[in-house]
Amino acid sequence: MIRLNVNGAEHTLDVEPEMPLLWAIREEIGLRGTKFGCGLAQCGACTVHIDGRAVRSCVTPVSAVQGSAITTIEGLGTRDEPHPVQQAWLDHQVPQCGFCQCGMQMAAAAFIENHPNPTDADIHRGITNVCRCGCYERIRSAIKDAAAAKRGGGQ
Amino acid sequence: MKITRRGLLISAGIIGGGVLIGALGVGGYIASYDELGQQRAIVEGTNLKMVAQFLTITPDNVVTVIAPTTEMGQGSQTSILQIVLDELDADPAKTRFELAPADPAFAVHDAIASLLLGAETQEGFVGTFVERLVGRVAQLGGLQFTGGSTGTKATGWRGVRRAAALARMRLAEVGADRLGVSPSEVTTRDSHVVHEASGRKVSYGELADTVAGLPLPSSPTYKAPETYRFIGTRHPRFDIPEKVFGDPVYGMDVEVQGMRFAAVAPPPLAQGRVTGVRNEAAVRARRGVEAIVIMEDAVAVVADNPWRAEQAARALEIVCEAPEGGPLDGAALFAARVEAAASASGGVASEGDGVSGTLSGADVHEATYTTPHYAHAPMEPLNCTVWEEAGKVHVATGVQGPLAARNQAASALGRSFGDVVLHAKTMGGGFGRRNGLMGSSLNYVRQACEIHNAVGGAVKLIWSREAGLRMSSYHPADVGHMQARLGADGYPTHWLARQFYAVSSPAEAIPAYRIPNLAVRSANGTSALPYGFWRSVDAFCNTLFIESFVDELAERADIDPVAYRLAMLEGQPRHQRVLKTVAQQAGWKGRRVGDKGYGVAFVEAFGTLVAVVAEVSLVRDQPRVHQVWCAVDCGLPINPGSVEAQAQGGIFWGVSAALYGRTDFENGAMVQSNFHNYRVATFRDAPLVHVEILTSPGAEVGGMGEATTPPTAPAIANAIAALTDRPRNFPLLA
Repeated sequence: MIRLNVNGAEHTLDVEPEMPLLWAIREEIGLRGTKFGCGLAQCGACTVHIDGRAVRSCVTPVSAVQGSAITTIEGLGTRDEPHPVQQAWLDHQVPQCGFCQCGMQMAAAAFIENHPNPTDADIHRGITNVCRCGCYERIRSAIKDAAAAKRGGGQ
Repeated sequence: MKITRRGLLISAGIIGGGVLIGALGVGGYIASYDELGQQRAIVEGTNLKMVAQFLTITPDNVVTVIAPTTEMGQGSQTSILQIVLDELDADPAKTRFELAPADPAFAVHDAIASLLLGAETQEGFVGTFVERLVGRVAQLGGLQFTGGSTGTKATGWRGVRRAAALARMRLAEVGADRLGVSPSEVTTRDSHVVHEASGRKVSYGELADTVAGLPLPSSPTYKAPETYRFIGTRHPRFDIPEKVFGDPVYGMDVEVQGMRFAAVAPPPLAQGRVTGVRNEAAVRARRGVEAIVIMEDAVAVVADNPWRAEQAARALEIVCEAPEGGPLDGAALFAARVEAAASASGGVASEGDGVSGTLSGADVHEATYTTPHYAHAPMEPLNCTVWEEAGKVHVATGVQGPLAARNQAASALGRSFGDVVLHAKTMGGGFGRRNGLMGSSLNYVRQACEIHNAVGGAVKLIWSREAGLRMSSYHPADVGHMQARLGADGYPTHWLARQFYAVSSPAEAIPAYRIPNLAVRSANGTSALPYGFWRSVDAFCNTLFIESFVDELAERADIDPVAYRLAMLEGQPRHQRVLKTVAQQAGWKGRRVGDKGYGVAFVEAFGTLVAVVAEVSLVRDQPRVHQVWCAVDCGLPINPGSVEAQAQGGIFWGVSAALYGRTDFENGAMVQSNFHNYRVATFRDAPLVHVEILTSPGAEVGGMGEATTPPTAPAIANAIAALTDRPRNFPLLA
């Protein structure tokens, strides 16, 4: 049995220890905001937080994250209380197709924790997720706004 | 009017449909075309009162726009809502959009009519007959696609806007009658008919039942642009919150009781035919595996979890036959295309005296450009869920052509059209991959149905990224042999383009520039790979060839490339304006400043004019795109926020296609498999993009989903050419 703590809730799953966290989250726990995009840690659509770090869940075996705090997009913020990244994503109208954007926001949320005042170069180095619609211009602006909101809000 | 590739296909459909209709001997069949009646029949029995095509109102005064424009990231559903808010004078708090059902009643005749007949609806006896003919043919052809940048400009601006104006006129008339005043005394506002003098009003909801039983006025009186409250504003897209908060809106997220999961493995030889599986028993014995389904183009494994299904599919040892013509050899395919283009004699388009034979002499400049087969790689791996419920088969999938998907599913399931319910889901990217116009674009839907046939019950097929790249409906590789004779002034007197096309469309390769004698010939070649459309279709390759070659001519003539283009656009002020604007944006000083190269390119495509300038430098001999400036004139931007987003996205698509996207075939197998070796642009490659939107009052509404892609790659190539040898073979990296 595998025990996972996702968004503060405990789950006990009868799955193989090597099952990627992505598929346990999506199909065993039923949270579908975390997306499958490549299965090879290349695109980042599956990004979640493990103890606050951005991790690609499609290559993370469930056995490796037992005892960790796992956060998915559903645990990042809500419509009533959006995370600064989500608020910036709404303000800048970032998503087009949106399929990469849950993972993109999870990556951005972890990124601004370590880059409170990011430059373009910081963002270009630090965010490696793929967006095929090409929302990069707005993502860049939104990350800077989210970081500023976080600085200003003292969160 | 220039004929596009899609135009040609659709023309063929129209002619085919016309012949069929003629053969049936039913002139009256066309005349009796009644789109509104058909749509009303669909909402019959609900509380939706259809006051005009696409427009329904409930007694509690909620307006629901039911239109066939699918959502793949382009935002045109919101733009269509904005059109309705203004033209119907609807209440923004009580107006919604709903995707139309996959039904011939919602075929996109406006998209086809806009290509064939123009932006305005044809009126009068003959005009109405022609519109009805197009409508009938759209229905017979099952044409309900979202593509060709037609969502906002055709379905929205041509179709829904007209319906909204007609509905508003009828609502005002019936409302005035209800208020006991003359129609000239009422106005319409926020879904009410208002008698300004007395302040009395009646809601659309109270009038809808009556209006839904009446014919529409014969021709619309549109609202004056200066009264718009929503059109032309950066209205927030209604689909963005659900995407920000991770709601399960995509086909990938569909959940059905008792659902199992299928994964597929294509045969080891690209485009090969599956003949068997060597290790069926071993794969069958894996945890969670329920069945193995052998299809002609792939083998599926059905299991209780998508990961188990995928792991099992990867373990399959598939036996296959090579495709007809033998195992694919990338180098041989490439050589064959170059050769075919050189002797191109298929479709011909010409202007002036044309060009006979080929050009030769010291005053002739020539160059050959090539592009690869590109796979679209939308972020959402293709998927399709099939289940049965109350005697019907339900199919849920993201698709640009829901009606085509329903037809495809019915055929693959061996069921009647009426037995199939198609749920078209929000797409995690489309880009033409799921267009529905070509069978290969729906291969994932067909496979899901074949798997359902074999195992029954509820089953969701999820393709791996590898399956998606290897079973794509590829944007066909192209070759352009370009020749021009330069006059004494340095400008071309003759222009000859010989190109390879999987489908012939030479007319679309005619540049907007003034060139006295011009010919385009296509090879009418066939493709060894299934081909489809991708973002900007033919305009992508055509513009890459034209704009690279024009730049070479300017260089040879020693004339600044912006000035050179402006001179050849003499007498076309809208065209010149976008070029002048982008030059100003970029602070254009010439092709090279210090270690930075600057390249310009221009296109007129999808009714929109675009010019871009790219700023590039070489880092360890590799191009790095720092900035792209873009001036875009789409006539009237319905939602400037979406216009800007599409302009940016289209540019990134062009950046990605300039740098990456090679598909190679070695020993019959495709080399690329996933994003590690099929690279796409990320922040690593992302230039700063500056978009300036120009408006042209009175001009047609131009399409925005694709127009900025075509000039981006040649602008990058032209910038590189200012620094080092000119690149002519694409993609440039990877």
